[in-house]
Amino acid sequence: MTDQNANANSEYLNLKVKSQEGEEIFFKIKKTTQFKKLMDAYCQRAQVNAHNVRFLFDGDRILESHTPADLKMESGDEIDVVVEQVGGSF
Amino acid sequence: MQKLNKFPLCYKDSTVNQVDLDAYQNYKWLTSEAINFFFEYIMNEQYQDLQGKIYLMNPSCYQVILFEDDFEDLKDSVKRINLQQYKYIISPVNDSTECWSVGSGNHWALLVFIVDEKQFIYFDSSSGFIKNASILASKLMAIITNNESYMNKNLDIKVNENTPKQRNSYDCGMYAISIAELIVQVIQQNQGQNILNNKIYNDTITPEYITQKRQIIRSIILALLDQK
Repeated sequence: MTDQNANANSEYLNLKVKSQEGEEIFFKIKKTTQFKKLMDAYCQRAQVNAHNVRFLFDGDRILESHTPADLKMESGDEIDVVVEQVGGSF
Repeated sequence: MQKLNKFPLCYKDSTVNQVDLDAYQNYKWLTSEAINFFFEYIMNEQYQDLQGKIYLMNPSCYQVILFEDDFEDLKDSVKRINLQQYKYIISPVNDSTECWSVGSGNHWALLVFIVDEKQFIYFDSSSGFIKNASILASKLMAIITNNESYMNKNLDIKVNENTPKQRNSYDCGMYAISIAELIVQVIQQNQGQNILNNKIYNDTITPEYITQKRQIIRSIILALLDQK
């Protein structure tokens, strides 16, 4: 997936989104594009509701309004995605 | 009804949706994000001075740690949290063993890691023990010591038998977060040695306290939504 012409100043990044099942989906995203776009695309492909999933980069929460540039991400970086859990009973 | 349009509420590292606000109504089960909001809120508004000393674990990070079995990937997956800097790591523990099932889980408990003493203490508002607490302890120890051999080692965990007990089938998450907050207060008063003094928890955390706490947290979220 790596763009041979990619360099440090490249406008686009290839990011890997890894579910806890180990499934990996690659996305190409502009450094300055808000993550909402990637999240929506991911949720559509993984068939989950956006309210039920969280995206993390090395433990930091990624918010919809963040951009890869905000988080100083580089091509090849990995995003973890986890789903909502609940609890109440014994 | 107007408030509906204001969701989600983004507060620090949390994103509160209607379902997370509703989780704080009486009789409701807490969602992982509802817990995350409360942890973020108290550490940013009430205990800023302890932010570098105590980590109230984001439940999503707990999940990442629990289900990542490769040591190098595990270290990478939480490296921005820099767990090594903390004296106390306090994490919610859920009984779900399903890594990719939305809304799974039945029960919340709490695991406290006193890092300097390499001691783990488990608080549970019911009488059981969630096996995930053992898995979490091993992985936290492996990360902190940078020693892979802890990954599958069974570590000693002190189960705090006298944790305040829920008297219903919906308040476990409330007990877990209320105990977490009291532990932060105990540490703030430089009484870290009193983490196991159950009088503190049993005197404070009553069914009435839990009901009030639900109301207080709902009010906080609604007030933040109104400020948007």
